[in-house]
Amino acid sequence: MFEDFTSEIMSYPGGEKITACMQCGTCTGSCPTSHAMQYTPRKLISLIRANQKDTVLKSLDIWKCASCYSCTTRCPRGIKFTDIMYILKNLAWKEQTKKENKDITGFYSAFQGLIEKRGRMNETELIMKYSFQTNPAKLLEFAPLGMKMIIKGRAAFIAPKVRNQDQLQKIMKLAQERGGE
Amino acid sequence: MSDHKIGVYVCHCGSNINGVVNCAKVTEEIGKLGEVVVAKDYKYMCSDPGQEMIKNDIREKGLDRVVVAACSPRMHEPTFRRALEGAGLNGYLLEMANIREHVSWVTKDKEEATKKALSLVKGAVKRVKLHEPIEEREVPVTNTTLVLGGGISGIQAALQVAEAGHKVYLIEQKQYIGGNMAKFDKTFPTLDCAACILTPKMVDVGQSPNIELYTSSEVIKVDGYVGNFTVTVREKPRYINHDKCTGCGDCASACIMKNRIPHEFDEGLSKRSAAYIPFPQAVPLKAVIDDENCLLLTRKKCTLACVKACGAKAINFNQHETIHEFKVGSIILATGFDLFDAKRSPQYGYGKYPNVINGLQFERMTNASGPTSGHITLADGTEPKSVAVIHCVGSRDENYNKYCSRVCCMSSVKFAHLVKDHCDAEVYEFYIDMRTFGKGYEEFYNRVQEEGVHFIRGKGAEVAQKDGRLVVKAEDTLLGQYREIPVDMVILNTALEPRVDAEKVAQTLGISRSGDGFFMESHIKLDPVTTTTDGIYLAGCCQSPKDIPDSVAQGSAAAAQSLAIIATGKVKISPISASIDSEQCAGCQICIGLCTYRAIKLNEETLRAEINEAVCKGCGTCAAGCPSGAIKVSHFNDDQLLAQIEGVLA
Amino acid sequence: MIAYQYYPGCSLHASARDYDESVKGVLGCLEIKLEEVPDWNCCGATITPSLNQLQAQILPARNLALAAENKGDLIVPCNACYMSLKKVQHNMVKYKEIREGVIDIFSQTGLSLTGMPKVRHLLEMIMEDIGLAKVKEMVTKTLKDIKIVSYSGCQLVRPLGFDDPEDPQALDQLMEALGAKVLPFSQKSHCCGSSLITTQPELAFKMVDSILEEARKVGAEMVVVTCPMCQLNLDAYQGQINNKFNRTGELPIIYFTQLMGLAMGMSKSQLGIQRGIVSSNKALEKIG
Repeated sequence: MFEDFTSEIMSYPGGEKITACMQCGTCTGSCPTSHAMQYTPRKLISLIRANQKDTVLKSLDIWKCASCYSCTTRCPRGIKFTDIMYILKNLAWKEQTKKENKDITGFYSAFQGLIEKRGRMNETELIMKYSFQTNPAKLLEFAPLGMKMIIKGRAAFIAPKVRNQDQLQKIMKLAQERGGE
Repeated sequence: MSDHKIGVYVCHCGSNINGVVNCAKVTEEIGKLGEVVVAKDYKYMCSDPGQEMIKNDIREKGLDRVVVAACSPRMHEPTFRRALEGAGLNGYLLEMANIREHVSWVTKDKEEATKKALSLVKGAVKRVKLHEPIEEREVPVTNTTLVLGGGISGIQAALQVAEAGHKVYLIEQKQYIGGNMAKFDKTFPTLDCAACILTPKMVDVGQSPNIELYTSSEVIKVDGYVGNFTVTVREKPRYINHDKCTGCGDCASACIMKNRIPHEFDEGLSKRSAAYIPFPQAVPLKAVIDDENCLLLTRKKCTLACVKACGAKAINFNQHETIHEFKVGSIILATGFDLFDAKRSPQYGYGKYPNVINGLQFERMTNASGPTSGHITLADGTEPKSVAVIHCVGSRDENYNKYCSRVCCMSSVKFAHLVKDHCDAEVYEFYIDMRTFGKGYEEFYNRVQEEGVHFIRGKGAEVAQKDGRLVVKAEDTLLGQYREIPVDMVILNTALEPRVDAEKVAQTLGISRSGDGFFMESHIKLDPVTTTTDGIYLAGCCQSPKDIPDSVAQGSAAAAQSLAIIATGKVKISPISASIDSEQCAGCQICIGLCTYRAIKLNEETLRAEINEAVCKGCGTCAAGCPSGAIKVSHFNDDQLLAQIEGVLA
Repeated sequence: MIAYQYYPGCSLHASARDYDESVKGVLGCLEIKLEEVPDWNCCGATITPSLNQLQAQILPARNLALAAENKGDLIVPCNACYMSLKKVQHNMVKYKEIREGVIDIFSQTGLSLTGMPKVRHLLEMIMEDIGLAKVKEMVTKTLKDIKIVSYSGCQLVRPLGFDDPEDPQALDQLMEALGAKVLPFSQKSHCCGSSLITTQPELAFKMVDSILEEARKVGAEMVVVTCPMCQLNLDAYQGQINNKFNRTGELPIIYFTQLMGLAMGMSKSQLGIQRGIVSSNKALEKIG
């Protein structure tokens, strides 16, 4: 009944109502980062409905979503656009983004890697890992801020972790496998 | 008991039914049942040839019972009853099986549908055997009409009934008639001045010998039934003797609360006294004292400056509320709408930024007799250099009202024109879809486009303040870009909503409301004026949002309905009603509470419940609720229903 | 003594240590016992949901599984963690595939989701369970009309929050109860861009700047926050952002619990107030 990509988005939790969009642009008008997008939220819906999967998933605009849920709260047709952005990022992560942008890939991989391994986040370690994965020169940019945080006692040096790491790693792995179906 | 001769007629309804249900198969199967002497299917059973077929079979084959399997009985039961009667058979010896709404429209599975249709028809056949002939009753009608609501549609209805020579009681909650239209300046698409076309009608109401006008009044009770309603009305005191008041306004000038109370008629843009004339063209043109703000009435302490100022000695603080009772044949409901409160969408800054206003406030501003004498001004008194109009605030929005309010596109375009006309500011219209569907409307839109108004296709998402100016944030969807447009004034064109007391009114009158909260019509297309209660009609925005032309048309239509009842002199009452076996009734009164139509009363002497058959709708709720089984409903008795169930399950 | 379960989230053990200190101090004063969920893990914030939806449910769900059924509501001080935890509960009810996926994975690891506790933000609990009347009673040192704007941020109120998503009221009311002068602030529930600050600072900086700039324009002496992400963004990056946009005037970013503690007579150091990158000393001078 609908184009393939529309049906695919509709099959994920949160994507159900995409065909109800009336293209009013309330999402874009409410979005704090749409000013920097080539494809605004409303236009992304149009692209999905026009089956332009490649264009959508290659676009870095989907990574500009700040997850503030303004579009979701205000959408007059009840479309959960923030959830749709997450769906698009999930799909792009599998197929596209790693080719398109080193910074995004580096940061998200570093964060996810730490969580999957230890179960808790350490900002200091995250920044180090991110910088090494992308451009070690970044460490210099972060250094002044890092120093301040250290002085104020707001940086942790012992990597925190959950006790039952086996359990955590197992559930994350199982979820990864299921998600990849 | 002798065998019946039953005819079964299965309707295709074009492809509506036959596209899903195998009508031929249903007909074939049903023809095998005992006592079914004829079974036929046909493309359109409700058509003349279809009805003729039934009539001929009744005459030729001597049918004494008929089953029609077609659409909902709501639609065509009366049609087929007439057909039976045309062939000399009592209309109640008919049973309909609904195989459209209950079958073909709700499934795509052809096999299942055919199975279900056959079951329903079998049930109908079993049941119809137990039907008994019933005679319809007629009752005489009272030739007066009550119109509830004195806005443009109520005025139209009242005048039309009155002009036909019949008595009308016009009841208005506010202190004046004219409704929202009285607040407007210009009306689309012709830009006539609202006062110029409305005031003469208001004056006619005041002067018509056939119209009794009650302002500051509300209906508190309705008893009876079509043709014979008794309506109780409460009239609140105005503390002014109407016969003496000349409408000079001296009391208002003298009142020590002068310029201290936000004026409702000006949508809060001006201040009034506690004693005041609602507006210069008000009908009736009489003062009113506001008992929520009058110092004497609230604190029992005042210099009584108004009393001293009133040369006509019209002020009377001893007035009390009055209860009136009217006998009427029909009721026309024209209670209008409420405007959506824009504070419910905080993102637009209404109530926070003084230069964000709603449509009615803008109407008052442009009105020559309004708070700014017709000047469009900002809070600081200066003229705006740019104005934004945001459409669909509270309309077409799942968070508030899903429906389109129908008038906002055109009124927004009118606002743009008025801004251009009054102060030549830049105007930005933020719209989702431009809906200009009426006579002369698209032409008006076109004209305003040529006046240089900026139309931006995108819903205004937010109004912010930046560097002392308002900023509208929206996507220009035709450009595909996020834009922030700085303006001096924002007009929020807010939704038309059901009135806040709609539920109370619906309960008082015993009528229904649709999902959107407006009063429900009997049929959205073919009977948009009648409610589900006979003798109560709808006019104007209480039924759904509509513009002035449509409100006037519906007012006239409602008047025609009232006049039709009066002209007939009598009304047919459905003979399907409940009856109580007083031997079995225990007087527990459970049924009285269950009856939506207030048809049941306790006989104070016998202490048994009694049903007014003229009011009873035959809904059966009381019969189902009666613990002692004392209540029976004709045409829906237990034997008939059990037979039907047996047939369906067979 | 009322008892609650406590999910601090990762930040409160590091960059938001000051928040943790003030939460514990204030709740101690109010005689409220917090029991930390044993062996809790990161909620995944906005990162995990971007990469893998099922993992994004699994992470918060494990915390819900580890929380006890009968030890009181689960109190969360961080807006982002609050939203993640609430969202997974919402999703488990609404979507069969998510519910079954999570239950299946948990069943293979000995986790179970029977009797999930109610997830509530710390501010929500203070407003609803303690109440403004009690808070006012506890005030020993009024904030003396110190001019603040209250910044609730986005994920406290959207999409499943407890206050108005466009014009939240709770934080205003609480600050007024402490004796602060709350200024009108249209950025209350606008986003600070926390999830973008590392990878796309040009976007996030602009968002932070709009918030700070309006706060300065309305005359605020400090910005009150309810979330460690917001605090870090507005506080630690403030210098860089002010430089970039040529702004003058530093604004201390303070947790609502820190102001509660001060008003209840606790010392600045007990509340970790010295840990702010932008110092609060000047703004707090008048209350001594």
